[in-house]
Amino acid sequence: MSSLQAKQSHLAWLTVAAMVPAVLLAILQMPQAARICCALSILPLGMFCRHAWLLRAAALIEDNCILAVPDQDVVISTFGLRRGARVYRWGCNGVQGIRLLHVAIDREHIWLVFGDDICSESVQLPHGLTDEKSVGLTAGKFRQETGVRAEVSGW
Amino acid sequence: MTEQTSVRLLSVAAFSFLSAYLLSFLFEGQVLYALLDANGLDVQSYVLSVIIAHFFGLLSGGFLVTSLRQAKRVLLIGSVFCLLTGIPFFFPASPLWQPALLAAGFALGMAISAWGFYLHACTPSGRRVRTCADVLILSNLLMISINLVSLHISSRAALLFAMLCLAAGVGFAWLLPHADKAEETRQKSVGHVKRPLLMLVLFIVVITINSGLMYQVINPAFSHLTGLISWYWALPYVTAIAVMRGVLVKFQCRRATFLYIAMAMMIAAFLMFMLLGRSALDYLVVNTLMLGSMGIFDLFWWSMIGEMLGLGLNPANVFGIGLSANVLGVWLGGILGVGMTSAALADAEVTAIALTVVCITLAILPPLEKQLNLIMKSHAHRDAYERMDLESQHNVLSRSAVVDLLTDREQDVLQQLLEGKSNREIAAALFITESTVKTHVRNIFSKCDVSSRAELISSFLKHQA
Repeated sequence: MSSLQAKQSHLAWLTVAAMVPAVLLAILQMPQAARICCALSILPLGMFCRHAWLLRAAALIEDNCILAVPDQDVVISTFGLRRGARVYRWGCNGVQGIRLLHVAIDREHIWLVFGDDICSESVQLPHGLTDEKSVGLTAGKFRQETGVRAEVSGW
Repeated sequence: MTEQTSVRLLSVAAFSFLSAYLLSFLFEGQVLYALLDANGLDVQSYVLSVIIAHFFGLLSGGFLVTSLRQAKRVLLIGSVFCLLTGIPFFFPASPLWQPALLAAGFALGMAISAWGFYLHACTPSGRRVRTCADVLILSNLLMISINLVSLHISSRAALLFAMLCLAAGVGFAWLLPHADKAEETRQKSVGHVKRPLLMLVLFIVVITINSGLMYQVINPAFSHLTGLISWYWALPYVTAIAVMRGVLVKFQCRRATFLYIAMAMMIAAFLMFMLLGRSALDYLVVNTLMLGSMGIFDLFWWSMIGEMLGLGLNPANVFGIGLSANVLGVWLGGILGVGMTSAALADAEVTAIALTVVCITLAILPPLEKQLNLIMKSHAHRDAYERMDLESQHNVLSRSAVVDLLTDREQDVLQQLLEGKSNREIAAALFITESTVKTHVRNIFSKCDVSSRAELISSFLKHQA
């Protein structure tokens, strides 16, 4: 999460840095150069907006955490999964959007299958859970928050 | 006749007689026009000042009157005060006229909004459309009679007649009860029903802009038919209300159907105004369509106000705000109409612009009506839900098949939604963030196939309310 926040602030500075010359050139009555600088600043601005959206999604995931694996920098939640700076979203757009379809937990790993009616994707992660009670609690949270019954095996 | 019916009729009589004075004299009445014209006074400034005073009177009454006892007091004092302010008009024009008109407009505005308490207390919610129709019909019939007196006898005789009506209104108001079960009804703050009230105001303003506009555009074209206008002007209006009342009461058909009929009549009236000449027969056609549609529109929004009285807000407040929205709409429409007619445009151009305005406002009406209905239904359902015990509330949720699609967490959020809580309140109650609540709400909407909270609440509670 902190890496995402750091990237966001870098992008913000980059956007400002790209826009300042455009403004200065406009003030200095150099419209042609100002236009070029303005066009060039669109790229960092777009990246900034896209990253802001990603950060919001990551914050939503953090807020609704079901399972966190700190040493792997992984957070699994009601509304998606964050692995480092990578974000997968589900359960945010009702019946039409991507949903969590299946969860399986064994002694070492957790398998998450998510997708819509057309295609799906699966992710396998180490869960870091060491006792049966924690696994039971996690499975219960999945059921309450996402409606998916986790398939627990090997415990 | 049961006691309830007699009290209802008494409240109808009291309001109609007061309203007849307002319509025939104070509020752009023919008697006022005749008196001002005869004395060579600036009609527009006098009329505008009364409109503004009446607007503030309605609003003030709405906010100051808080009980049935106060309502009766305001109704009586306001009407008696109006009677006194009418006296200077029996004498030659004097500087007293303007302040007298202003004070009367304000006082009658307060008295009229106070009557909202009687509409609420004397008529059960399902029958308010009948009471609204009755007061509109009776007050307009009285207004026609006063106008005829003004035309065929004299404007001062008509004023005397109007004041007699007002005195009769005072008499009926004196007989009204002032302690009723309505005193016990809970009154919510304005904030609780702010949205439906705002929608209602917008709805009324949009509807009545047309009447103000029509008054300024069509009336001058037929001003040479004074005799016919004096008695036929409001007749289609009264007839349309009577027909709508009969159909709504007897056949229980959808009220929205009338909205579409009125819209079609309004457009037809403008088209006829463009196509036909300016003879008496043409006036009959145009006025029948135009005033007929206005009658339907008026009963439509009056019945909306009647329904809104059931939401638990101070009745004088709802009534005052609703009627002041009407005054505002008439005034805005008047400004539009005066602007167009004074721009030295050709008749056809004025009518075409007016028709465009009418079409735009009419296009806004159906979605506005749908939204308003939905909000009012959801409020009614929400109230019903709040009154249920916990077991019944649980039954409401468990009986619905769509609940199976929701996760446990979404069901928790739904429960809070049905209680009418905001996202922030839900977040605080469930110890989650507001953005989480928003996402859950979006998911619930999608799974329940609805697009708003109002629709969601209505779909869940329509059988229980």
